[in-house]
Amino acid sequence: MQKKPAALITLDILAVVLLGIATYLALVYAPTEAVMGQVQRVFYFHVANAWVALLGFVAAGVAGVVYLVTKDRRWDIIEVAAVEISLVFFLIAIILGSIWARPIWNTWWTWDPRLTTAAVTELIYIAYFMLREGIEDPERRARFGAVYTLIGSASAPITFFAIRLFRTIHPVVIGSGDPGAEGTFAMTSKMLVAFLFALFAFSVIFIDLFWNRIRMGWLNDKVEQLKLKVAR
Amino acid sequence: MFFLDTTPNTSSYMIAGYTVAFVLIAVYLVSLIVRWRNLRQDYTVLKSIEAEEKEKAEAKLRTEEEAADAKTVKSRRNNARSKSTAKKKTAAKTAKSKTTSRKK
Repeated sequence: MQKKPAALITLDILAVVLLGIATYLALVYAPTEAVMGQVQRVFYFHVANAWVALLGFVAAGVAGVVYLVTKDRRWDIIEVAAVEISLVFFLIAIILGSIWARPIWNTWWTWDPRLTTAAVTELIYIAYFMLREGIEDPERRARFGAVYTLIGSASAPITFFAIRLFRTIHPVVIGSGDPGAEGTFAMTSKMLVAFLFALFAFSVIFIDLFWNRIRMGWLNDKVEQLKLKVAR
Repeated sequence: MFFLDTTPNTSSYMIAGYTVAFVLIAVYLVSLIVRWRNLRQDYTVLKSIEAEEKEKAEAKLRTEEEAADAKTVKSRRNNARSKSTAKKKTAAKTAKSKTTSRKK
Protein backbone atom coordinates (compact mmCIF):
# COMPACT_ATOMS: atom_id res chain seq x y z
CA MET A 1 0.00 0.00 0.00
CA GLN A 2 1.48 3.37 -1.10
CA LYS A 3 1.88 6.28 1.30
CA LYS A 4 -0.14 9.42 0.65
CA PRO A 5 1.85 11.62 -1.75
CA ALA A 6 3.10 14.98 -0.45
CA ALA A 7 1.37 16.75 -3.36
CA LEU A 8 -1.98 15.31 -2.29
CA ILE A 9 -1.45 16.34 1.33
CA THR A 10 -0.65 19.88 0.09
CA LEU A 11 -3.78 19.81 -2.07
CA ASP A 12 -5.87 18.68 0.94
CA ILE A 13 -4.65 21.68 2.95
CA LEU A 14 -5.07 24.05 -0.01
CA ALA A 15 -8.65 22.84 -0.55
CA VAL A 16 -9.58 23.55 3.09
CA VAL A 17 -7.95 27.01 2.96
CA LEU A 18 -9.67 27.86 -0.35
CA LEU A 19 -13.04 26.71 1.02
CA GLY A 20 -12.52 29.03 3.99
CA ILE A 21 -11.63 31.99 1.78
CA ALA A 22 -14.55 31.28 -0.59
CA THR A 23 -16.91 31.21 2.40
CA TYR A 24 -15.50 34.52 3.68
CA LEU A 25 -15.87 36.15 0.25
CA ALA A 26 -19.43 34.86 -0.16
CA LEU A 27 -20.65 35.72 3.33
CA VAL A 28 -18.66 38.85 4.23
CA TYR A 29 -16.83 40.40 1.27
CA ALA A 30 -19.66 40.34 -1.29
CA PRO A 31 -22.31 43.03 -0.76
CA THR A 32 -25.88 42.16 0.15
CA GLU A 33 -28.14 42.10 -2.88
CA ALA A 34 -30.80 44.83 -2.53
CA VAL A 35 -33.85 42.92 -3.79
CA MET A 36 -33.29 39.37 -2.54
CA GLY A 37 -31.34 40.12 0.63
CA GLN A 38 -28.95 37.68 2.33
CA VAL A 39 -30.31 34.58 0.57
CA GLN A 40 -28.65 35.73 -2.67
CA ARG A 41 -25.31 34.68 -1.08
CA VAL A 42 -26.38 31.07 -1.59
CA PHE A 43 -25.83 31.68 -5.31
CA TYR A 44 -22.00 31.59 -5.00
CA PHE A 45 -21.88 28.04 -3.66
CA HIS A 46 -24.92 26.89 -5.65
CA VAL A 47 -23.37 27.72 -9.05
CA ALA A 48 -19.88 26.52 -8.04
CA ASN A 49 -21.24 23.14 -6.87
CA ALA A 50 -23.40 22.68 -9.97
CA TRP A 51 -20.60 23.65 -12.36
CA VAL A 52 -18.08 21.27 -10.80
CA ALA A 53 -20.66 18.45 -10.64
CA LEU A 54 -21.58 18.79 -14.31
CA LEU A 55 -17.90 18.81 -15.27
CA GLY A 56 -17.48 15.62 -13.22
CA PHE A 57 -20.37 13.93 -15.02
CA VAL A 58 -18.82 14.80 -18.40
CA ALA A 59 -15.41 13.55 -17.12
CA ALA A 60 -17.08 10.27 -16.09
CA GLY A 61 -18.50 9.93 -19.62
CA VAL A 62 -15.02 10.48 -21.10
CA ALA A 63 -13.53 7.90 -18.67
CA GLY A 64 -16.28 5.49 -19.76
CA VAL A 65 -15.33 5.92 -23.43
CA VAL A 66 -11.63 5.40 -22.66
CA TYR A 67 -12.51 2.27 -20.66
CA LEU A 68 -14.54 0.84 -23.56
CA VAL A 69 -11.60 1.46 -25.91
CA THR A 70 -8.73 0.31 -23.67
CA LYS A 71 -10.51 -2.15 -21.29
CA ASP A 72 -8.17 -0.83 -18.60
CA ARG A 73 -9.72 -1.23 -15.11
CA ARG A 74 -8.11 2.02 -13.96
CA TRP A 75 -10.53 4.00 -16.14
CA ASP A 76 -13.47 2.28 -14.48
CA ILE A 77 -12.11 3.37 -11.08
CA ILE A 78 -11.72 6.96 -12.36
CA GLU A 79 -15.27 6.89 -13.76
CA VAL A 80 -16.79 5.72 -10.45
CA ALA A 81 -14.82 8.38 -8.52
CA ALA A 82 -16.02 11.16 -10.85
CA VAL A 83 -19.67 10.08 -10.64
CA GLU A 84 -19.65 9.70 -6.84
CA ILE A 85 -18.19 13.15 -6.12
CA SER A 86 -20.33 14.84 -8.78
CA LEU A 87 -23.42 13.22 -7.29
CA VAL A 88 -22.63 14.78 -3.89
CA PHE A 89 -21.88 18.23 -5.36
CA PHE A 90 -24.98 18.16 -7.53
CA LEU A 91 -27.18 17.20 -4.58
CA ILE A 92 -25.77 20.19 -2.66
CA ALA A 93 -26.47 22.44 -5.67
CA ILE A 94 -30.07 21.22 -5.96
CA ILE A 95 -30.75 21.66 -2.22
CA LEU A 96 -29.16 25.14 -2.20
CA GLY A 97 -31.26 26.10 -5.22
CA SER A 98 -34.39 24.88 -3.49
CA ILE A 99 -33.58 26.88 -0.34
CA TRP A 100 -32.94 29.98 -2.48
CA ALA A 101 -36.20 29.44 -4.39
CA ARG A 102 -38.39 29.42 -1.26
CA PRO A 103 -38.27 33.18 -0.53
CA ILE A 104 -37.68 34.24 -4.17
CA TRP A 105 -40.19 32.07 -6.10
CA ASN A 106 -42.33 31.39 -3.04
CA THR A 107 -41.95 27.64 -3.53
CA TRP A 108 -39.37 24.97 -2.67
CA TRP A 109 -39.72 23.27 -6.03
CA THR A 110 -41.28 23.79 -9.42
CA TRP A 111 -41.16 21.58 -12.51
CA ASP A 112 -39.23 24.14 -14.51
CA PRO A 113 -37.02 22.77 -17.38
CA ARG A 114 -33.77 23.47 -15.48
CA LEU A 115 -34.99 21.97 -12.22
CA THR A 116 -36.50 18.98 -13.99
CA THR A 117 -33.36 18.22 -16.03
CA ALA A 118 -31.25 18.64 -12.86
CA ALA A 119 -33.45 16.19 -10.94
CA VAL A 120 -33.34 13.73 -13.85
CA THR A 121 -29.53 13.97 -13.99
CA GLU A 122 -29.24 13.28 -10.25
CA LEU A 123 -31.59 10.29 -10.55
CA ILE A 124 -29.70 8.94 -13.58
CA TYR A 125 -26.49 8.82 -11.55
CA ILE A 126 -28.15 7.36 -8.45
CA ALA A 127 -29.40 4.60 -10.77
CA TYR A 128 -25.82 4.18 -12.03
CA PHE A 129 -24.73 2.96 -8.59
CA MET A 130 -27.80 0.73 -8.32
CA LEU A 131 -26.90 -0.81 -11.67
CA ARG A 132 -23.31 -1.42 -10.58
CA GLU A 133 -24.45 -3.01 -7.32
CA GLY A 134 -26.57 -5.46 -9.29
CA ILE A 135 -23.70 -6.87 -11.37
CA GLU A 136 -21.20 -9.22 -9.70
CA ASP A 137 -18.71 -9.83 -12.50
CA PRO A 138 -16.22 -6.91 -12.37
CA GLU A 139 -15.58 -6.86 -16.14
CA ARG A 140 -19.26 -6.85 -16.97
CA ARG A 141 -19.96 -4.24 -14.26
CA ALA A 142 -17.28 -1.95 -15.67
CA ARG A 143 -18.52 -2.37 -19.24
CA PHE A 144 -22.16 -1.69 -18.35
CA GLY A 145 -21.12 1.26 -16.17
CA ALA A 146 -19.06 2.75 -18.99
CA VAL A 147 -21.93 2.53 -21.47
CA TYR A 148 -24.32 3.96 -18.88
CA THR A 149 -22.13 6.98 -18.05
CA LEU A 150 -21.57 7.58 -21.75
CA ILE A 151 -25.34 7.86 -22.28
CA GLY A 152 -25.88 9.60 -18.92
CA SER A 153 -23.25 12.26 -19.61
CA ALA A 154 -25.54 13.68 -22.28
CA SER A 155 -27.83 14.86 -19.46
CA ALA A 156 -25.11 17.21 -18.15
CA PRO A 157 -24.98 19.60 -21.14
CA ILE A 158 -28.78 19.37 -21.48
CA THR A 159 -29.11 20.53 -17.85
CA PHE A 160 -26.52 23.25 -18.37
CA PHE A 161 -28.15 24.65 -21.52
CA ALA A 162 -31.75 24.12 -20.34
CA ILE A 163 -32.02 27.73 -19.15
CA ARG A 164 -30.70 28.95 -22.51
CA LEU A 165 -32.77 26.61 -24.70
CA PHE A 166 -36.18 26.63 -22.99
CA ARG A 167 -38.46 29.27 -21.55
CA THR A 168 -37.75 29.10 -17.83
CA ILE A 169 -38.06 31.03 -14.58
CA HIS A 170 -34.55 30.00 -13.53
CA PRO A 171 -32.26 33.07 -13.70
CA VAL A 172 -29.33 33.22 -16.12
CA VAL A 173 -26.80 35.38 -14.33
CA ILE A 174 -24.05 35.01 -16.92
CA GLY A 175 -25.11 35.73 -20.49
CA SER A 176 -28.55 36.66 -21.76
CA GLY A 177 -31.50 35.42 -19.82
CA ASP A 178 -35.11 34.66 -20.40
CA PRO A 179 -37.46 37.61 -19.78
CA GLY A 180 -39.63 35.28 -17.70
CA ALA A 181 -36.76 34.46 -15.34
CA GLU A 182 -37.29 35.47 -11.71
CA GLY A 183 -34.43 36.28 -9.37
CA THR A 184 -31.99 37.68 -11.93
CA PHE A 185 -29.57 40.30 -10.64
CA ALA A 186 -26.70 42.41 -11.93
CA MET A 187 -23.38 41.40 -10.40
CA THR A 188 -21.14 44.08 -8.91
CA SER A 189 -17.35 43.72 -9.17
CA LYS A 190 -17.15 42.42 -5.57
CA MET A 191 -19.88 39.86 -6.29
CA LEU A 192 -18.00 38.78 -9.40
CA VAL A 193 -14.80 38.28 -7.35
CA ALA A 194 -16.66 36.13 -4.80
CA PHE A 195 -18.35 34.17 -7.59
CA LEU A 196 -15.19 33.48 -9.61
CA PHE A 197 -13.24 32.59 -6.47
CA ALA A 198 -15.96 30.13 -5.42
CA LEU A 199 -15.73 28.51 -8.87
CA PHE A 200 -11.95 28.23 -8.51
CA ALA A 201 -12.10 26.95 -4.91
CA PHE A 202 -14.66 24.26 -5.74
CA SER A 203 -12.63 23.20 -8.77
CA VAL A 204 -9.61 22.63 -6.49
CA ILE A 205 -11.80 20.84 -3.91
CA PHE A 206 -13.15 18.62 -6.69
CA ILE A 207 -9.64 17.73 -7.90
CA ASP A 208 -8.55 16.99 -4.32
CA LEU A 209 -11.55 14.77 -3.57
CA PHE A 210 -11.23 13.13 -6.99
CA TRP A 211 -7.60 12.18 -6.35
CA ASN A 212 -8.43 10.84 -2.88
CA ARG A 213 -11.38 8.87 -4.23
CA ILE A 214 -9.30 7.36 -7.06
CA ARG A 215 -6.71 6.20 -4.50
CA MET A 216 -9.52 4.62 -2.51
CA GLY A 217 -10.77 2.91 -5.67
CA TRP A 218 -7.34 1.41 -6.28
CA LEU A 219 -7.17 0.17 -2.71
CA ASN A 220 -10.65 -1.32 -3.10
CA ASP A 221 -9.50 -3.07 -6.27
CA LYS A 222 -6.46 -4.51 -4.47
CA VAL A 223 -8.67 -5.75 -1.61
CA GLU A 224 -11.05 -7.40 -4.10
CA GLN A 225 -8.14 -9.16 -5.82
CA LEU A 226 -6.70 -10.29 -2.48
CA LYS A 227 -10.12 -11.63 -1.42
CA LEU A 228 -10.29 -13.71 -4.61
CA LYS A 229 -6.70 -14.93 -4.08
CA VAL A 230 -7.32 -15.93 -0.46
CA ALA A 231 -10.67 -17.58 -1.27
CA ARG A 232 -9.00 -19.86 -3.88
CA MET B 1 -41.55 41.08 -2.51
CA PHE B 2 -39.96 42.98 -5.41
CA PHE B 3 -42.13 46.03 -4.79
CA LEU B 4 -40.89 46.52 -1.25
CA ASP B 5 -38.64 49.50 -0.53
CA THR B 6 -36.57 47.75 2.11
CA THR B 7 -34.42 44.64 1.58
CA PRO B 8 -36.28 41.59 2.87
CA ASN B 9 -34.81 39.61 5.74
CA THR B 10 -33.87 36.28 4.18
CA SER B 11 -30.93 35.53 6.51
CA SER B 12 -32.48 32.33 7.85
CA TYR B 13 -32.56 30.84 4.32
CA MET B 14 -28.95 31.81 3.76
CA ILE B 15 -27.91 30.20 7.07
CA ALA B 16 -29.92 27.08 6.22
CA GLY B 17 -28.29 26.89 2.78
CA TYR B 18 -24.71 27.16 4.01
CA THR B 19 -25.40 24.78 6.91
CA VAL B 20 -26.75 22.15 4.52
CA ALA B 21 -23.77 22.61 2.17
CA PHE B 22 -21.19 22.25 4.95
CA VAL B 23 -22.99 19.36 6.63
CA LEU B 24 -23.24 17.41 3.35
CA ILE B 25 -19.56 18.04 2.53
CA ALA B 26 -18.61 16.94 6.09
CA VAL B 27 -20.76 13.79 5.84
CA TYR B 28 -19.14 12.89 2.53
CA LEU B 29 -15.64 13.49 3.95
CA VAL B 30 -16.41 11.31 6.99
CA SER B 31 -17.77 8.56 4.71
CA LEU B 32 -14.55 8.73 2.66
CA ILE B 33 -12.38 8.50 5.81
CA VAL B 34 -14.41 5.60 7.27
CA ARG B 35 -14.39 3.65 4.00
CA TRP B 36 -10.65 4.25 3.59
CA ARG B 37 -9.95 2.97 7.13
CA ASN B 38 -12.11 -0.11 6.61
CA LEU B 39 -10.39 -0.88 3.33
CA ARG B 40 -6.95 -0.45 4.90
CA GLN B 41 -7.93 -2.83 7.72
CA ASP B 42 -9.26 -5.36 5.20
CA TYR B 43 -6.07 -5.01 3.21
CA THR B 44 -3.77 -5.66 6.19
CA VAL B 45 -5.89 -8.61 7.38
CA LEU B 46 -5.98 -10.15 3.90
CA LYS B 47 -2.24 -9.59 3.46
CA SER B 48 -1.52 -11.40 6.75
CA ILE B 49 -3.87 -14.26 5.76
CA GLU B 50 -2.12 -14.48 2.40
CA ALA B 51 1.31 -14.55 4.12
CA GLU B 52 0.11 -17.20 6.59
CA GLU B 53 -1.24 -19.36 3.79
CA LYS B 54 2.00 -18.95 1.86
CA GLU B 55 3.95 -19.97 4.96
CA LYS B 56 1.65 -22.97 5.51
CA ALA B 57 2.03 -24.05 1.91
CA GLU B 58 5.80 -23.71 2.15
CA ALA B 59 5.86 -25.69 5.42
CA LYS B 60 3.69 -28.39 3.86
CA LEU B 61 5.99 -28.55 0.87
CA ARG B 62 9.01 -28.76 3.19
CA THR B 63 7.50 -31.63 5.26
CA GLU B 64 6.54 -33.42 2.05
CA GLU B 65 10.07 -33.04 0.75
CA GLU B 66 11.46 -34.19 4.08
CA ALA B 67 9.15 -37.19 4.08
CA ALA B 68 10.17 -38.00 0.53
CA ASP B 69 13.83 -37.66 1.50
CA ALA B 70 13.32 -39.91 4.53
CA LYS B 71 11.60 -42.45 2.32
CA THR B 72 14.44 -42.50 -0.17
CA VAL B 73 17.03 -42.80 2.63
CA LYS B 74 15.08 -45.67 4.18
CA SER B 75 14.73 -47.45 0.86
CA ARG B 76 18.45 -46.96 0.16
CA ARG B 77 19.26 -48.38 3.60
CA ASN B 78 16.94 -51.31 3.00
CA ASN B 79 18.54 -51.89 -0.38
CA ALA B 80 21.97 -51.73 1.18
CA ARG B 81 20.88 -54.07 3.96
CA SER B 82 19.34 -56.57 1.57
CA LYS B 83 22.44 -56.40 -0.59
CA SER B 84 24.72 -57.07 2.38
CA THR B 85 22.58 -59.96 3.63
CA ALA B 86 22.54 -61.41 0.14
CA LYS B 87 26.32 -61.07 0.01
CA LYS B 88 26.61 -62.71 3.43
CA LYS B 89 24.35 -65.52 2.33
CA THR B 90 26.34 -66.14 -0.83
CA ALA B 91 29.58 -65.96 1.16
CA ALA B 92 28.19 -68.47 3.65
CA LYS B 93 27.04 -70.68 0.81
CA THR B 94 30.43 -70.62 -0.88
CA ALA B 95 32.17 -71.31 2.46
CA LYS B 96 29.85 -74.23 3.10
CA SER B 97 30.40 -75.65 -0.37
CA LYS B 98 34.17 -75.27 0.09
CA THR B 99 34.15 -77.21 3.43
CA THR B 100 32.00 -80.00 1.97
CA SER B 101 34.36 -80.32 -1.00
CA ARG B 102 37.36 -80.46 1.39
CA LYS B 103 35.67 -83.17 3.48
CA LYS B 104 35.08 -85.15 0.37
